[in-house]
Amino acid sequence: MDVASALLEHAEASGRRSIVVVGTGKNVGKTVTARALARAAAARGATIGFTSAGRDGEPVDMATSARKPRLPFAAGALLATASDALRGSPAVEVLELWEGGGPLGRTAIVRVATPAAYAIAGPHTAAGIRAVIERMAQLGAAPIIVDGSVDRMAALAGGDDAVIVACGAARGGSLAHIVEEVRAAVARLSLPLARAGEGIVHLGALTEAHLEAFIAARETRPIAIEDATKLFARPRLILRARAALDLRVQRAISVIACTVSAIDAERSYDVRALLDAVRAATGVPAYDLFSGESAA
Amino acid sequence: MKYRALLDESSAAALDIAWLAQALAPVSAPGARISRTWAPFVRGEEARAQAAVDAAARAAMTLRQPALAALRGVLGSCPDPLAIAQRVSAGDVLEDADFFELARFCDAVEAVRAYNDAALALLPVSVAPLREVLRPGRRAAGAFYLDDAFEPALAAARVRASERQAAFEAARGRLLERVARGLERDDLREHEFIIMRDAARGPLPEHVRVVRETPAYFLCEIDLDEDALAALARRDAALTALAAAEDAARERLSASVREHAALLVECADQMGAFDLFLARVLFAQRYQGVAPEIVAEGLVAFEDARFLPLQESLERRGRAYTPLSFALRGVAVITGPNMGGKSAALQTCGFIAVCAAWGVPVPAAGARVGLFSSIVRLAGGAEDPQHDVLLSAFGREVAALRQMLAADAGRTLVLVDEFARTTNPREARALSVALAKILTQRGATALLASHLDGLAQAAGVAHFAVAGLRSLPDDSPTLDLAQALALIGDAMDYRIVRVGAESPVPADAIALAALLGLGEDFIGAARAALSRDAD
Repeated sequence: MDVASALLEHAEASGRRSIVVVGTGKNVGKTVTARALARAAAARGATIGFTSAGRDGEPVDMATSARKPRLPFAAGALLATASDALRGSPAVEVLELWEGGGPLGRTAIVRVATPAAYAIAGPHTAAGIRAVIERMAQLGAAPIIVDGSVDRMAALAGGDDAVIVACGAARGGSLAHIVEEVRAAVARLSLPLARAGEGIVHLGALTEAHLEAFIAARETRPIAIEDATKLFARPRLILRARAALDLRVQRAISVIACTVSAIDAERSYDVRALLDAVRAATGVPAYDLFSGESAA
Repeated sequence: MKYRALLDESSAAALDIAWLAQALAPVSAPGARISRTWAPFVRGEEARAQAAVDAAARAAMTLRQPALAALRGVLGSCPDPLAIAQRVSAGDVLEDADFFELARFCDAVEAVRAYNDAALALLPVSVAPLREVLRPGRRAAGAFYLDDAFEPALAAARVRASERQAAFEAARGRLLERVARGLERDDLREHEFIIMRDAARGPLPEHVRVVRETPAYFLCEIDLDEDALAALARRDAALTALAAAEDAARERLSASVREHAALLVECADQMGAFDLFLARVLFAQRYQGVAPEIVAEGLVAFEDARFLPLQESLERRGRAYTPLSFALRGVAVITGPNMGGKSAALQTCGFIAVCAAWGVPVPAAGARVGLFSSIVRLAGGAEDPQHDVLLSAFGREVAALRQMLAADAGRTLVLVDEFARTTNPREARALSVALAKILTQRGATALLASHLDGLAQAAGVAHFAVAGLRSLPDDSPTLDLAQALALIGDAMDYRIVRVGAESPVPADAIALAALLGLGEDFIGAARAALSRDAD
């Protein structure tokens, strides 16, 4: 079995209907991961649903002019995207239109009629993402894949998704640095569930200042936040806080795997070493869709 | 609603016009647009106002709830095609999302028209011709697709694009398969992939282009051969041809829509107006509204009318609401005990007048109402953050009065709640008399609520009074606030009766204060002071 199919199978085994790919930064392989999952599902004959928390699938990045992964879809796939992003793509069957999609106009849920590459610019809010996932599920899409935007973990708020965290060489620094970032991201997203009526319930965002204050006070009671998207801190402080404090969430997020991208335009790392280190640091399987290797 | 055309913000707040606007809110996008510019009926538009309230009241009598709910459901999903109509009229080529919106609009219009009930006024015109234009693109559940039928070249272009895409995929797939076989890997699916150096035995297979080398591996991509490159070029050409055919289809379809643009605009406005009409019908059903007689004079007369925001508020607290009957013609003074409903009487007058001006059946058993150009409520001690904070309550009141007198607003309904209450009673009375006389000279319709004795007589205007307390226990037991309010409510006769101009204002304040919990010493001292003044 190829590695994308293995990753898809692993995600589906979690029982979640949607798979959200988030990343530790830009160009770490989120879209490559989401595309590989979509391709693997389509190859099985599934009616996939696909959306993005940013703008993906266009030939070049509008901000950096760098080449971007294209997003080819077969006929029948359901996409949720700003209607303006569909200009230049073959005509699609428009199923629904929602106002307030963001700067690119209304969000359309469409069905692909002609196999081709499509640009996807999904809703910009967590609520919008949740809504299109729900609607695409009602329209028969399974699985539903969400290409998360750069570090936009807020798209996970309120959801019940299988989450994949992408990390890669584009973050720069040493291999240890990349591993620490992804370890912190997974640590942040994998906070355990709070027990009702126990400890401190922290409403709203839990910031670096809050964490420093709790650590300084040697707080031993459980500290519960709504979900992991309400935790805002640098990776190193997140790891320190996870070690020093009993952080919990009222709604858990399920991180099921990581993907690695060992190479970018300026640097590269040993694939095997990166996979093994990410697997060991995060406790979840790691996959490399370029080399076809994994550390399960 | 452009209620500011009829009331200033302070008066609108006092009459809780926001509540009324919410109760009459449209559910469709055209309705929301129309309501933003819709203006109340004014003097001279009595016939139109009468027709509006009659139609809504008639429909409220005959239409059943399920039909109304179904119509509201249809309207709730109705988009506003105005912007699309304007763009296509200006020569724009529409996009597929626009055609989808137009199709949804046409569906909503025809669904509304299907309720061909005689009681339904303002039914929109048919958009069947436009619907027919879009019909080939309709799919299940209201979806739209740029169908082959819209452009002769489209079907062939699509077939070609799919075939050429498949041909390119096959050509690339063959290469990928060959490369995978050469590398003994079964996971190659993507254009880019990595080959580990230690896994590469000998030279790399043909058709592998190394993009980058690292000490551990090569980053590679498939190097397309001549056949694959030719297939790619044919695929791209087919997609370009398809794009051209689709653009031609959109141009053709846009031209057809353009022919119906005027109908579209007219129908969008009618759908908006129908939505507003239906909101009035629902209002009439929900609140037992009746069509008032719209009269040419400045009259506000009603039987068993209800100031609905207050009624809802009281009923939420488990307290009864007493409907009011009253006829206000010209200028009049209303007096009565504290908590007797003088302010509610003012609010009811204003509320009924606004309903009539909005073409809404009024919450009453019957009513005769004139149309006013403005409705102004003046209140002693009213807060108004727009004015200078250095102005006292009295200063703010005078400033508002000056503004009202300076405005030549045509026929005005003036509702005055205890003018000059914060200054000394002697001068307050003098100012109130002057106000009543000036309003009379101006031909205004006005009701002045006051505690001041002899005001109506001095101003030479009609005098009404809240009937007041029927009886109160002399020695009331200690009650909590809710119990006291319930007791007062039971003891109060809220009816408004005409009294002689010289009738004294009732003095129930001390008894009410006792009921509301002021101590015996306090109340005793107040009664002693009152009897000293009488002596």
